[in-house]
Amino acid sequence: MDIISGNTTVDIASLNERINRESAFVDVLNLELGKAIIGQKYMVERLMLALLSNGHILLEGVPGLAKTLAIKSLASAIHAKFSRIQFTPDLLPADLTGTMIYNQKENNFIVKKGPIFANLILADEINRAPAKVQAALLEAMQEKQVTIGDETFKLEEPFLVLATQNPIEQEGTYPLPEAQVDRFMLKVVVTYPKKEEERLIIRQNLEYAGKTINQVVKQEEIINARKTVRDVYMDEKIERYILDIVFATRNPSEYKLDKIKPFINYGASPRASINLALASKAYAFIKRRGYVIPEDIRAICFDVMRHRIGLTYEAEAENVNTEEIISEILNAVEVP
Amino acid sequence: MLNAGEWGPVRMCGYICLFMLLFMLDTMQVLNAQTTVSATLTADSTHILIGDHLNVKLTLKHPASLKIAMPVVKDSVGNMEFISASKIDTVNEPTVQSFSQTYTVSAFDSGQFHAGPIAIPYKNTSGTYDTLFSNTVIVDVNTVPVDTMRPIKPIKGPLAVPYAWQEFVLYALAALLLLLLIIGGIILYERYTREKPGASNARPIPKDPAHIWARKELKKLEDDKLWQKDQVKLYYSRLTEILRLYLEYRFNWLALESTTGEIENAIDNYQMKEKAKDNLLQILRAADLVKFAKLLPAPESNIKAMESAYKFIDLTEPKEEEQKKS
Repeated sequence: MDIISGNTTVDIASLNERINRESAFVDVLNLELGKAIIGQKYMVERLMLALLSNGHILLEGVPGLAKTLAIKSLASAIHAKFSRIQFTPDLLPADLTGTMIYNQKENNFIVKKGPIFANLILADEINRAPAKVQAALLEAMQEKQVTIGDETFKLEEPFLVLATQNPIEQEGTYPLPEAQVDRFMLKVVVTYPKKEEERLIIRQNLEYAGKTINQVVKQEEIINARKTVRDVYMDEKIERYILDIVFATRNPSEYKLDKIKPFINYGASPRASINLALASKAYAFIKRRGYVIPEDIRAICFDVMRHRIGLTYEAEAENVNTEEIISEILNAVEVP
Repeated sequence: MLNAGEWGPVRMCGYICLFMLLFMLDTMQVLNAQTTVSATLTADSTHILIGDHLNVKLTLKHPASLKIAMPVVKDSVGNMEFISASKIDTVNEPTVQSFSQTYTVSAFDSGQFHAGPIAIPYKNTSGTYDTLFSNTVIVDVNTVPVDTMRPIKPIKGPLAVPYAWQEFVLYALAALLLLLLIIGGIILYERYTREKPGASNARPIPKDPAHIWARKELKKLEDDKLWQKDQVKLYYSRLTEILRLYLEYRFNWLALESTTGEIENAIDNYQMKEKAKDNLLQILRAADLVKFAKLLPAPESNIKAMESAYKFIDLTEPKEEEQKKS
């Protein structure tokens, strides 16, 4: 029995209808990806979020957790162009973006586009390449365009970069600078599959014929869905809630969080607020809702914020990580 | 010539004279002793080995009427090295005062040394200053006889002193005390600098019991007639805030920082009737729609939400025994 009866204003009701219509592909896409990827629902959901909110993902996890398979399957399912770039210490920016090649026949320089000209890019082990290569990629991510010689090329939509890094090997790596890691909308920590899931993974891999991923989503559908995501209603109270969370990382004392103050070197940037808002809208879209609720913020908060909070040496000495800081903040900031 | 019988009185007189003479001599000696001062230096031995300690005793006697102080010996006694001095021993007699002090001396060369004389300045009976000198003790200082027939040996190495645990007890105790102080300091620092979990979120607790406080707040909300003034969103915001704070005061549950979904997941951990749980969740879900999805409820829904809130308080207020206990 509901205690409430009434009407939402017309725009929300129509938005709900639109979302129901346009988000139908999410289930289909999930089913298709489920053919190739067993478990890792969290990672797949975050891939969807990034796809819908036009953001990029940094995946952190040990090798063999289906990171590459997930993005390859996603690319196949939406019939998008996929590039995999293995980052190595000798990689050059031109290997990524492309270069000008002299054409002897026509006696001029022609542009040879690099692997970045694709819809879905897997930047594998991004921290193995030097800073100049990372910068070239991250610039393309931010500007959605690449300049080769005198010419600037717009990157095709959808453009999603999925970068991976290995948390256990630090030798011979070039950790991403804070300013660059901030450009990733989400940083997802990929964990091991459950026992039962791993049993199914073994079975699937022992089969002779691998399951093929069919193209189930058109690129236009994704682009339309992105527009709808931006229309998802976000109340002023939710905006304030987002700001409270972000500002609590900058001024913990104002939120009676003095105990975490010594652990924070620098707080989250305005990009955190933007991405929290955008990702929560995408999350509401996936959940078939035309409006954002505090649960949406809390659901994506860790992935949006974990790479945007700088820790002090004291935090490292005390083994305090950003997840614990975010938990403290979420437990202290009042829900609207 | 006198006879044997006649010699008796003469002999008697002689004896008497001799006795008187002796008596007078004795009396004079005593009188002399009462008026003269003397300083006598005596030694334990007159032969020592090089570096050995020798005790020399200075005894000072003087009439009680005179005031003479014992000398202060600092570096040497005669040409012997001064090492230490004992306390001054005083003997007070009616007419004579006697002081004695023992000095430990040594010599670090062989040969003949002399302890003393020690000069003692004093003021005599006529009021003039005089100096009294003690006698001198001659001391032969000998070296250790060397047997030249035996071969020369290297210098003997330092003696190995066995370790005794008593020597380390103090150090061990000091280290233990320091360790305890450090540990105690760390514990105190941790206790006073670290906030207890949840302490930072602590809000002032109302004086009234939670259910009375909540009813008062709901009454105030009713009286403000917010939804009647088209402030529906504010009405539901305040309504849910009162209920969330009530949960905190009544069940010690930080509900103000929890979403509706989290409250729904955690509600089974708290003892309340099913009806109360339903009431609470319905209000929260409805309020979420009003607050975040622009829902405009019908007026009767607003009244019903308030009734449900009262009902929830009624169903969850502590029983009488519980109230008495608290």
